[in-house]
Amino acid sequence: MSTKPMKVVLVDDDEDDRMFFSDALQEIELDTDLQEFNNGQELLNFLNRPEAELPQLIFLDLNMPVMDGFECLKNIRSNPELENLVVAIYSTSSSERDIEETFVNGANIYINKPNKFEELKKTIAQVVKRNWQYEENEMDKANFLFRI
Amino acid sequence: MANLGNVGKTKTGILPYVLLLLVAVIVLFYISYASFQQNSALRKSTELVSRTQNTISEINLLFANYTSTQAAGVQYLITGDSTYLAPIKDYISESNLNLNKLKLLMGDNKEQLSRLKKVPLFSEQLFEQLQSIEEETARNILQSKALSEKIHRIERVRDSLEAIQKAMIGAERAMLKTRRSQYESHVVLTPTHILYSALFALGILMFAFTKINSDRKQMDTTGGFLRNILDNTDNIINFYEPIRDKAQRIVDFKIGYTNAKDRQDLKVAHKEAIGKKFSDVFPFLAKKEHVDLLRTAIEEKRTLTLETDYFVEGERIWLHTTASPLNNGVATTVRNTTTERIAERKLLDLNTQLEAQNKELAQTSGFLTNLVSSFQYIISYFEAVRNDQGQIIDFKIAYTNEKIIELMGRPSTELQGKLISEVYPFLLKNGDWDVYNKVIETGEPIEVEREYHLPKGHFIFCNEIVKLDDGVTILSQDITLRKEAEKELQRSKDALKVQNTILNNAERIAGIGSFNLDIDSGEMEYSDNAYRLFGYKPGEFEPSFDRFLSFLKPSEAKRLKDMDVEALKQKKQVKSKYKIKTKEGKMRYMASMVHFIEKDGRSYMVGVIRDITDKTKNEQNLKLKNRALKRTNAELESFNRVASHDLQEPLRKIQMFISRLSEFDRNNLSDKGQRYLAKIEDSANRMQLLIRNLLSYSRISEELSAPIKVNLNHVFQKVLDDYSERIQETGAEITVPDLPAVHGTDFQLEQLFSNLISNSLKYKKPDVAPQIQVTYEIVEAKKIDPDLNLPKSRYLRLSVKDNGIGFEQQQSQKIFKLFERLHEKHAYTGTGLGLAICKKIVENHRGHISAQSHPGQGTTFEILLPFS
Amino acid sequence: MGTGLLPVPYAMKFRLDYIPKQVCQKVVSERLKEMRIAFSFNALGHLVVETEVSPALLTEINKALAPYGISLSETGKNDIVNDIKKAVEELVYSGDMRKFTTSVYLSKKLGYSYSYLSNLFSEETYTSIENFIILRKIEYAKRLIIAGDMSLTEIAFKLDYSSVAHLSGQFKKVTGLTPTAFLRILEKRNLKTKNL
Repeated sequence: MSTKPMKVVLVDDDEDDRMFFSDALQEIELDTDLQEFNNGQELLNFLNRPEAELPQLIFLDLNMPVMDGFECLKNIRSNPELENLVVAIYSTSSSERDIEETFVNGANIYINKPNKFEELKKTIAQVVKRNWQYEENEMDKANFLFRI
Repeated sequence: MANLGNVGKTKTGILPYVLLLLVAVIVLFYISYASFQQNSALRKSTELVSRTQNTISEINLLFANYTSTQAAGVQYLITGDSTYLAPIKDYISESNLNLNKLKLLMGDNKEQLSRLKKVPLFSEQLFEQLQSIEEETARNILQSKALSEKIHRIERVRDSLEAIQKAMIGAERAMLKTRRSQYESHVVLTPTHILYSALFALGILMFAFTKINSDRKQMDTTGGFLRNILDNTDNIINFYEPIRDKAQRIVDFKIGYTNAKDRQDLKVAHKEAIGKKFSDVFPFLAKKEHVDLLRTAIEEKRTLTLETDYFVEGERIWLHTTASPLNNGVATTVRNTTTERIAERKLLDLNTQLEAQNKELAQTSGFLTNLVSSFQYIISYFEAVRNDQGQIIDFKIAYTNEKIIELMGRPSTELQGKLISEVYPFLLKNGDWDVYNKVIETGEPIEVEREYHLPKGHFIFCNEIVKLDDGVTILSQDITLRKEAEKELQRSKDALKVQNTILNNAERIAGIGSFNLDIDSGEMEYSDNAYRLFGYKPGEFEPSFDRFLSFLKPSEAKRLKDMDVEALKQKKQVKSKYKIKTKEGKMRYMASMVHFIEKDGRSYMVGVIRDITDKTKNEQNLKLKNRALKRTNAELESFNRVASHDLQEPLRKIQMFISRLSEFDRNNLSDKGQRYLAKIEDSANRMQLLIRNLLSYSRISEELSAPIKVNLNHVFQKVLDDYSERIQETGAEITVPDLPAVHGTDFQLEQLFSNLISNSLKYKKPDVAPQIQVTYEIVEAKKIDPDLNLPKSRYLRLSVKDNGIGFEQQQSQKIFKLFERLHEKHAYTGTGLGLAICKKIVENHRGHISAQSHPGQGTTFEILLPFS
Repeated sequence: MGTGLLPVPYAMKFRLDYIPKQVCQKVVSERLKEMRIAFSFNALGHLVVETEVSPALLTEINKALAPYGISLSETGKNDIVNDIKKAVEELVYSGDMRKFTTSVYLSKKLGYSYSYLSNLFSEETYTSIENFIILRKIEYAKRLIIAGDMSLTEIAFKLDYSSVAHLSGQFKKVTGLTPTAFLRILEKRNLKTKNL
């Protein structure tokens, strides 16, 4: 078992959502370290820094100003160094087309933003644990698809 | 000459003169001899040419006789008119004369003579054949089986004669050609040769003569000798000295010398002439041209020639004169060219004559050709058969020629002697009978065109019926082909007329007009409807291209004209659209298609004009509507965005805050507050569900992408996967057969069947496990209710049948409407959008959905999807 | 170091080939024999000492082994969890799921009672052995689905599911996707990378 906390990143332009998320992540008491960004461009700027410590899990909103989640996902997947990053789409959209499109473009996890805080906690815990399991057991990341 | 003159002036003794004279004499001898040779050659070739011409004309005459003879004979055979035979005797005697003449003319040509010898052999045969006709009556000939043979024999003889004629004329023509060229070279050579020789000799002689004359006493012997020579030449050589008046103008000449002694042709004796005046001795020469010639020669000191005609005692002679200045006078050499002229004229006459004869021959041969071709006709002779009272009761076929076999399929021998009532019974009814009777009665020939249905087919004949004795000869010409061609022509003319009418109607109905412009002449034709398109009656204005352009605005007219000119250059077709102003001043939109064709070396512009006003207006309307629709769509899209994100976001946050509130502070609220909080939560949840459903409903058209092949088995598999929990919970039994693939959008089809299955699971009877049965069949569109207006030919009919609570059949339309619910809001969860979404999806796929139900007996949804 | 060894012109170089486990076990065996401690190596390669090892003794042993870079530590819960995972993987990938009951198989394989293993596993991983087995099974199902050689029915049978619906249900629970959707997504992904 890793002694280091899991490094988690949230990319969302909505302040309230960021608040709900960090509250939920704190409350589930998993050993995580959260870093927040306002949009896709900010995340990419961070990831592209040479000394950057790569996160183990990225929660990515779709609808954002400057650079939306789609664009950001495509950028991440086209960079071989970031190939193994686990990307969880964290969006309000429940359009089947959006969901499939993000998976096809390389998302691992798709989360419909829940409308209850308890659900949010449950969802985040599920995703963090599942990611853990994948990390720990060195399972095939290419086949890692998870929709909540 | 000048040199000689100089020599003469130096006194170098007598010897050089004698030597000079000797040389001159030798030269003159030679010249005389050569001239004689030349002259006789010319005479000979003249003779030969005219003889050949004569021969050719004789040959032609001879054979023309034979041709005429034969023509007379055949004419007689056809017409039975014996006056044609009378001239034959004349032809015979004439041809004998011709023959004898030819024998003389060809006396020296063995080859031609041997050909000529053959002629009488054939001609006698020909006359024999033709004279034998005389002894027979026309009827006998017509009846004679030998008629055609006789004609053939005549033809054969004539052919042989013609062959000989051709050979003979050919030979003569070849000869004529060589002789002519010989003659021509002689004609050219002779006069010039003689002229120059004579001038040369004259020069020498004149020089010697003057010298000798001035020294006559010493030179007496020599002078006599010279005179002797001069007297013996064929030409008249004179020397004149001018007689001048006070003004030094030449008024006459004194004869210094002349050799014209006892000249028969000139009627003068020279001994009396010397010293006398020119006008007295040669009055006939005192023609203006001649005197002018002499004068000019003296005044201008140059040699001149003149050929003209003179009248000597009423006889016209032609003289060629050369006048050369000599000392202070003029020497002339006059040559009589009368015979040459006559020969020339004779040749000309001969040629004209030959031409005339040739023309005559051509006419004769044309006549014969006609005659022979006339035997392509059917010739029949019907002899009247009369009863005791003398009435004609029938006709006997006395003669009919071989050609009849082509019509009747029977040889003429079989038909001859039979009655027309047996062989041609139809003649009694078709009017021919009456014609025959009339011809016999009146003696006037009648020409009739008639149709016959004969064993060998259907024929049209032009019949010429002529009375002969007590019967009729019928000359029938087959004009079937001509008549049929005429009929065909008429038919196609009629068809064209019909087509034009149809075209006119079609043009009117389709709002199309057409035109045809002859580019070279500028002539233009409009179809009737083309006029109507411009608001005119057909033919109301004079059509021309400029008139057409006048209907357009000047700028458009120029554009159109430029386009057409360019198209004409490139010989390509061109389409154009333009506005015109009609007679009533209405603006109409027109489209025309024009192409260029070449026909019989002329260029035409052919085009179709179509009124596209309605279409253009519709298009414009459509464009406006499309633009409006696009705006609406854009608005709808932005609404969707608003609904999906901007509307959902705050709602979701409300829900989040509610959940946070109830988690931490619920217990601090009063009971009422807690109830209200629960209400708020419930309403927010319901609103969220509504928004989601509404979104998926509006997304249906948005998500419509290019249809792909969708495996319905996979669709159902996914749907069943989605509901696996609920299926397990309710113990539902769902049967799905192996389904075919359809064309569509997979998400939507998934949602369609998901909603239907969900519906069946939802509206289940309490305490009864749901049973859902999916079945399908492929149906032809014609077996489906035509009111549904389904465009494709085949459909897949899918049925989803359940055992749920069902509903009243009259509600079956209502259930597919947006927000329609049949049940109490809380009896069953739902927004009333599920089936509306289903209907929209099916309609998106150009299909149809319907429901059959009965309360308590389950529901069957029936979906029709296009199937290929 | 700074003495400046002269380069030897004909120095010879060798590569070391060795089996670490063997070297390590040999070194440990010799040292422990010197210290007169009775021991053995078990199937998992663990050192098993029958007598009580006091912390002082363990420190002494580790001191003796330090020059070789070897240290001993008491086998922890983590190792057991890893052993469980290894055993589960073996079982799932063997395709012999139907022959064994997992609890019996695991306690036999690891030599602990199933309840002990189950509690330990839950404590260490925030998840149950059962869940872990399911995760592994679905992971294997994914591979089989992608390979495309077997139908869902065959895969369900191989992985000891009672029906396709059962497999699909569990697949959906684990991944949030149906097997069909999963396959469709991966096919589209492959198509996309191929096009790129």
